[in-house]
Amino acid sequence: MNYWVQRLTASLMLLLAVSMLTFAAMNLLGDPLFNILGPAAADTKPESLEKVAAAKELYYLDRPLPERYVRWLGDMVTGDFGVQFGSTGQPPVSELVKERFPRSLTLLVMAQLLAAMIAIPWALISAARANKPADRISTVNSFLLIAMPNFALAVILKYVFGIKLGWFPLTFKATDPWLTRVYQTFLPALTIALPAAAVYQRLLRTDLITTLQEDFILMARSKGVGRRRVLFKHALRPSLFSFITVFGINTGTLIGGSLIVENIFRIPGLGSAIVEAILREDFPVVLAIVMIITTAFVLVNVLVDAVYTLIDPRVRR
Amino acid sequence: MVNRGNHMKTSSSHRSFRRIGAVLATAGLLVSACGGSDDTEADSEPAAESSPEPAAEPAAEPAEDDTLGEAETDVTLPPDDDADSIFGGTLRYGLEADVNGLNPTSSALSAPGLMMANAVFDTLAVYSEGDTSTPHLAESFTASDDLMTWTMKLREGITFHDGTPLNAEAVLVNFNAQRGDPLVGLAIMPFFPQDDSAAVALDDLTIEFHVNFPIADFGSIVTGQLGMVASPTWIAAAKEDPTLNQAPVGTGPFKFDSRSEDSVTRFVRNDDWWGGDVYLDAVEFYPVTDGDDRNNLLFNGDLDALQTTNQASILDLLDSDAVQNIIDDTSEESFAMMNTAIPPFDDIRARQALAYASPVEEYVELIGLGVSRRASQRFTPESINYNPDLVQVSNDPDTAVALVAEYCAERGEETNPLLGTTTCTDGKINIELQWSGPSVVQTRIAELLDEAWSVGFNVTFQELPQDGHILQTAIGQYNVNTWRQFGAVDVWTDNVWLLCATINPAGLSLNWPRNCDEQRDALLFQATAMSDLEARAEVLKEAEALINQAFTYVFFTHTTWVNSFADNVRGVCDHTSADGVKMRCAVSGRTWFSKIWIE
Repeated sequence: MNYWVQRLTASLMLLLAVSMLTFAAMNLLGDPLFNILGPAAADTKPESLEKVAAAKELYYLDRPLPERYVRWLGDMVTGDFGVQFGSTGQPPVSELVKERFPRSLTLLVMAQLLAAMIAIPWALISAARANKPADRISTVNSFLLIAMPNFALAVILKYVFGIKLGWFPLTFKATDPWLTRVYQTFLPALTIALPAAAVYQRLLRTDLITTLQEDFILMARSKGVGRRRVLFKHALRPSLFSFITVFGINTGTLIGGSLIVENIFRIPGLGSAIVEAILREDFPVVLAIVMIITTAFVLVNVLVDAVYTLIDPRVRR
Repeated sequence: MVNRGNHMKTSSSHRSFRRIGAVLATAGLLVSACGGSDDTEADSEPAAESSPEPAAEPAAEPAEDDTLGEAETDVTLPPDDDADSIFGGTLRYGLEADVNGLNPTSSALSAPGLMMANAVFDTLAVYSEGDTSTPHLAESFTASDDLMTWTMKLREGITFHDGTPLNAEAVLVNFNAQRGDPLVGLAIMPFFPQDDSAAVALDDLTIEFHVNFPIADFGSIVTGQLGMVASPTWIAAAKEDPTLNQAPVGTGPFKFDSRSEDSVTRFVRNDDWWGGDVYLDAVEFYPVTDGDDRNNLLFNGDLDALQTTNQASILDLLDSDAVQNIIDDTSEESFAMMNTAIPPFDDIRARQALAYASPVEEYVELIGLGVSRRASQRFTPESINYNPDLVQVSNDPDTAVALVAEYCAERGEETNPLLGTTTCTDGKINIELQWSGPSVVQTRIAELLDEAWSVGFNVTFQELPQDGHILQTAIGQYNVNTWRQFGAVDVWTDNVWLLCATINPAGLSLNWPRNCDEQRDALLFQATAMSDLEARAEVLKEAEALINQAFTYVFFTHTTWVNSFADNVRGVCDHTSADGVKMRCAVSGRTWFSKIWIE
């Protein structure tokens, strides 16, 4: 219990630190008035000057930085991320997040599921045939996938499966039914999954090879336990620590969306949203997405720790 | 009214492009794109012009402008006379970018925005095939003898999609909303008095416009954004809730249905369209920023049409037998543009130096892929207004270095207010090059220019999102940028980018370079009032010479727009005005949708 209290406290401190740093950094970028008001920010007509004064008051732009931070933090913990800075309107940031987050989440979940589904059997096969020709070929393939930039992989997959074979659509249409959008997300998810699977496979294979040399494995084999059962029932579980750790870190990273993949496949997700917001100096959007990513990172890593205790009872103690 | 030497053709000649940027469309002008993904006040005289303005000494013989073949209007789209139009289907249109809003009274509608607006708004007038304006929503335009009062009569019985009637009051609401917008209003300002006498409703369907100077063709003002009439009910609601700018309400052949920004915008058929039958069930617009992607989607059948200025894409499109292409290079020009209001380019020597140092030949070859026609002015060689004596100086680093040395010796210790540095460092002029991005093409252009300009300039890069780029340019916060502009079908509507009256020293200017030349203004106003095209051309040539001698622009190429349609798309060029006059098929990459059907 003490451990989890400490863990929670540390996580909150981390979130606070990230929020402070990000808030300070955003406010150093420049004057958001242009982003809020557009051309009116530079206009000298009396009505435009009134708009400038009103905007400064509404968004606390004339207040000191610490005060603005505290106000923003107070709003954020109650779920109010503020409004987007845009001269054609200031819709709530939460609308943008609600619209884009599910797309990035779908991409993340599909990518990670695919990665796990590819990596685990691949690692088991490699470990069972360690240092044999099949394993060597597998090693080459995994390093190829790790080394290949994801934009190059994306283009290859698009060309082969989208254009040449026509198996998957090349467009993502946000207004299509959910299942159709999942289908449209398959190729982008595969683009992320393949290099991730290669990394997971390398880690899991190494851990499996180590585990397979343990005494209890020898004991199981000498008792006549079949090879497949040894791998799945005895070796896999204790070999999962590294895999889970990296899986968790990767999940946290992908929460923010994969910018390059989103751009190549034209999925308007969180990744593209944050880049656009940075370029536009749309501070509330940047802050909101950064906090979402950080929170997700923290939560996922807490979850990873919890999973450790399930896998290895010794960790509980 | 105006014939720009029509070089619009639909053929399979193989040319290609890169888009330089998108431009703000105002006052019935075609939108030009600022140096963006493309693929785009101080009327104080330049200080310390101790050197007399040199004659425009060409660095080399002017390159041949004609790289697209001889001028022709060759519509090779399949004739649809014998085909029966089919109702139904959705046209999926690929655009170069998305826009922030679709309100013609307040949004900066770039080319993609105007394309979407074409689906939902009608304009008061349209351009005919012969490049003259013809009434559309308006029934007639009547001029007073002095051409300073124009009476516009609207057609009866037209309603907006929300049921609000189209009448004089609705048009006035639109007109006044545009006048009230800080940027859009600036474009209208030179043409109309500032008070309420600018537009007066004479009755429910008649408006009398008063203009500041004689205009021979008032209708050409209202063929573009200024002529788009939105529902006054919607305009009022959007003022209260700006998010409604995303859901336009007009009189057009299609009604707004849904919009997911950066993904898809959908309009559905307006069954009660006043202009007659609309064949398509819906039109959907997909922003696809990558040119190759856009092409692949069209070739794969995931799109039915696209617009592009990307030269590599155009090559592929023209190579394909599976698409129909409309090619038009009579629209904008791509250029580098200098801010003459602040150092260093308030000095003509610095501007000349930049021009002489510019790698225009390499630009045409590497960026235009040797395909876009090199530009020396605002007009293509086929245009009646083309001045054959003008040359765009370039590729002369020695002259550039000499001019830089002269400038730095005299003014090198002054301050560049944008960079906060001295105007010269180590004998070179310090400047900032601004462009709209993120864009691979724009970055390559910047690198190309930097390499050539480095003989005399220390160049700092500044890449901005498109709307930020437009804004910085409008407020004069730039030294030099890459831009795309001009190309109005009726040339006088481009005056807004050139007049002294559109410079606001303390605020926004649509005369982006902030270069005021009263003599040039006088010539432009004179030309605006002339209906004799030959005589007008002579006046415009004189004005063009003054633009050339001011060295505010370094012209690179004439932009080519290509609109491509899948083979089964019909009726692309069959649009007519309300009076049955055949409309110009495309204007700066915009096409219309009311007569399109899918086989």
